[in-house]
Amino acid sequence: MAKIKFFAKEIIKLLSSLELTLAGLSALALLVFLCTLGEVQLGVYDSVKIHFNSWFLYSRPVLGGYRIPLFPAGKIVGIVLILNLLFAHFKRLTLSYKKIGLWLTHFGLIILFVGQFLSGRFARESQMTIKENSSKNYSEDPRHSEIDLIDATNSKTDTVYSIPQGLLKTGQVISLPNQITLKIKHYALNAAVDIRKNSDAAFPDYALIQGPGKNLEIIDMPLSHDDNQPNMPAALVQVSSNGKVLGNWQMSEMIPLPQEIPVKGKALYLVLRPKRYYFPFSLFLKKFTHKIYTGTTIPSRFSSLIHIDDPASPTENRNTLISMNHPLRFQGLTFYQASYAQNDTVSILQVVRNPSWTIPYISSFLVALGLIFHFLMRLKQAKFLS
Amino acid sequence: MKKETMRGKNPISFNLLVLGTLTWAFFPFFPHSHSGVDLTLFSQLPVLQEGRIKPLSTVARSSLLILSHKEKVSTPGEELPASQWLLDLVSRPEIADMEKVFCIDNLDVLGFLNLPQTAQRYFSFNQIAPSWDRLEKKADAIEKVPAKSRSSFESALLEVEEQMVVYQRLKFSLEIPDLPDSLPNLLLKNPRAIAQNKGLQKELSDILTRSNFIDQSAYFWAIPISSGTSYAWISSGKAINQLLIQGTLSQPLLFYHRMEDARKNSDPAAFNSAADSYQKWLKKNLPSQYRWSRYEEIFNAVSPFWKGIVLYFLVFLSLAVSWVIWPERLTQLAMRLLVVAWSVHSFGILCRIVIQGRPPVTNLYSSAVFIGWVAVLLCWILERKFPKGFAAMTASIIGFTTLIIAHHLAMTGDTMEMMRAVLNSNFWLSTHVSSITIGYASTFVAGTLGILYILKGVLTPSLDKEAAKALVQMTYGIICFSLLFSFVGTVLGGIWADQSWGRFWGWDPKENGALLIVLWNAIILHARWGGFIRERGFMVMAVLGNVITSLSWFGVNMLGIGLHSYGWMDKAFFWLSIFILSQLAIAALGGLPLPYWKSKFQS
Repeated sequence: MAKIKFFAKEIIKLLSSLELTLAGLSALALLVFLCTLGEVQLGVYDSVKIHFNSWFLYSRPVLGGYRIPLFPAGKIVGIVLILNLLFAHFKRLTLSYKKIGLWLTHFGLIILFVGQFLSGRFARESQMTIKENSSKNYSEDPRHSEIDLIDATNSKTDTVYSIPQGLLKTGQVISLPNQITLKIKHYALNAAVDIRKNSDAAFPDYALIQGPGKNLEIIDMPLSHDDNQPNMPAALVQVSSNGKVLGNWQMSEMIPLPQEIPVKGKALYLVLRPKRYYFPFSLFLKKFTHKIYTGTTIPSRFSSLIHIDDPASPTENRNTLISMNHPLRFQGLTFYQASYAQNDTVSILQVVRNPSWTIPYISSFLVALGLIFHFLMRLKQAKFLS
Repeated sequence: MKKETMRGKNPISFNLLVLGTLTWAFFPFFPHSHSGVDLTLFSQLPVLQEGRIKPLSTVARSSLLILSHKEKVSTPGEELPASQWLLDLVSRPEIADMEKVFCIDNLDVLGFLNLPQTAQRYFSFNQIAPSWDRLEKKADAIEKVPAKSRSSFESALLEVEEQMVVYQRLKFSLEIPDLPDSLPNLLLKNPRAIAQNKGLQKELSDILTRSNFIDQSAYFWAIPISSGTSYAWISSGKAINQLLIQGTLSQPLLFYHRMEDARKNSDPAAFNSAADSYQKWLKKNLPSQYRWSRYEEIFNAVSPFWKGIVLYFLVFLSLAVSWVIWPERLTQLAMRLLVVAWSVHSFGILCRIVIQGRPPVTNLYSSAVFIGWVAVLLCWILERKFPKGFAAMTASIIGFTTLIIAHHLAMTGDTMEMMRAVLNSNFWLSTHVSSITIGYASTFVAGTLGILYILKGVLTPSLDKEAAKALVQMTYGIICFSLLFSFVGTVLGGIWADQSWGRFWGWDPKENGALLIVLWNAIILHARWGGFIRERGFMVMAVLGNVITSLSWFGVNMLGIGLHSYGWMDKAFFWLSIFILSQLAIAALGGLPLPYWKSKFQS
């Protein structure tokens, strides 16, 4: 018993120690530095995944493809720093008038960390591409794909069954409503598409390919880390209805056109495309404006004149102008002017759902307040001394 | 008591010296021409370039910086001011084409252009022109290679091609094709006569082709044209087009025509009268553009940042000498000069704010200028509190260095460029960007104080206990200040990003750089509070703060566009490496065991 008590004491001492703070801060600084360097080769998304959204930095695969953890990554360092902060406050720092600045600062930091964790967990980013004089009721996630089975039998509304990217693996068998079964014969995370050169290919599955994908050849490509050249998944699937094989379909995100599946009495389509998020309302793009400074190509302003169309609450229907630095916040989503295409006739909006977006505002206010308070206090003390 | 009397006894010569320097610092040195042409009248004329209305002198200076990395043209006889060179280029190109204004220092490029590979680095248009076709073809090929994988020869070659393009576009910008005297009259009075005359039609179509070409290649647009209530700016080519097609004559075109005729006939009096009439016309019709353009010309003529470089150097010199002789008098002089230098520095920043209508920091160039300004201000406050000359020394070093850096950054063109849509927000520029830059400035102050501590302590016996304590206290205060501003600046950046892209933190290299400064300052302070480092360790870590800040200020910009990009970035990379190595060396020196220090201040 005494041993356990001693042990616990030692652990608490370690967790509340300033040595651990310094080790944690230094590790964090090193991770930030490595992550920044990594972004040159890997792109921001993957570098952050490796350095911050994981437990360890690993070595290259050694014997048997096993990778050795070399250094704690963002998750461990973050947790250690938060624990350290909490323990230090309860163990060492007394709650006194003099220390109130430190308390505010550190409390603010904890909220900031937690907020970042929450937004990493719950924030969702996607894009909405709207052409002028048309409307959209969904956004797309360019980083994730899905295979959708669209049931258009009902003439008024389509029903969409989505298979998320996680399930899209070669060999996977997926049962869908309407007694449809998909068997994924081949799935490539990144692939190019070309016209097939020789029709009598050695691969027997080719012969069974139905629909417009018949004459295409999918060429597997290495994963791209360039943010400007997104990965383009492609798939070869076998479709069965009521246990009877209908044939193979070949799909690529490069050509995201629904292909018809011939089932009697139904209008079924299959498509591989970026993951979609549907909204209960739609946005109509009235006008996209791209202003430049006279005599230059430097843009001075981008803006999209949008009409919100919400059938559930018609009172909300209105015009609104989204421009850079002036997003639209609507029903828990925020729409930002992100980009444009096709000779300024298409506007691309970044759509973000982040329930914890206010946390950084509150926490950083607390930290700044705490720092100002603490340093002013020290300055006053220094004046007293001199 | 003795000090008081000393202060009262400043000889007149001392005060005159300070007064003289002050006058020199703020005096606008307008460019002069030996040809009898009133160059100021020409330099002040407003034109539109890169979306901003600016005087011709700014166009001349910034384009000369692109071409020759200098603001003047050296000829065997004299130094030509930039405006004189521009005037020659647009009105007597045959003379300007012989001026050596292209700075090429890559030997392979010189070889490619069949130019002598000697110490000579400046070449004229006529020397490069024979290789133009080959140069253009090669440049087209290079442009297809991504910037990251270009060799230094390829980047240097591309730079020369771009310089040639700028040069030729400038040359055409004020060109007015010769119109047969009768043509404008006919157009205005009897357009039908042209339609009936085949010879005139041919002539008209030739001129239209030329004026279209001028319109497309113009580097700046010089002609304001009335559009209802206000004036719009067009190129001289377009103005000719409008005259020939719509029969609308814009007065400024006539004025420029008169100026050019006068130049061709070598008649300076006629030139001055035409320029003067145009100025009067501008004053009446575009009073605000006329006024702003004149103000900017005064700003150019004062050259506050150039004067700042000289003055900060003088401050450094007086302080350095004061450690050997006349300590009191020279320190006093240095402090006065520092105030003069900072005032002219402030004047420059203020002019930029007013002219641009933007907060002080809008790009890398202005960040350098602003870092220097903040650092000198902080040091001046420190020097009042700890009057030992350390802070003043720091001020002169940082002021001088940042303005030199700014001077080199100006070589990419006009430094008052228009802000892209996402940056087009004065609120965020003034809050986020300014606080980050204040953070940079303060870490540099702390780092430089650290350098003084180490160098003085290791190399000289002069660092006593009191001086060491003062240095440490100053550094401590500045690091706290820096932590606050870097943190606030970083967070404001996050909030700006949240407002414009919907994410508070995106791990962008620039954001990471700012975060590193915050973390480093936090590490220093926690290590000090925990007693893990003492005075010396604290100062060594402050010096290492310089490394982190320079990486975050400059290093990350190099990551983005690759290590082998444009010429100046290559050079910037070289200097950044030298700087970082020097800081590491100084930090290592600070780590020497105390017995090796010449100053024995620590028991």
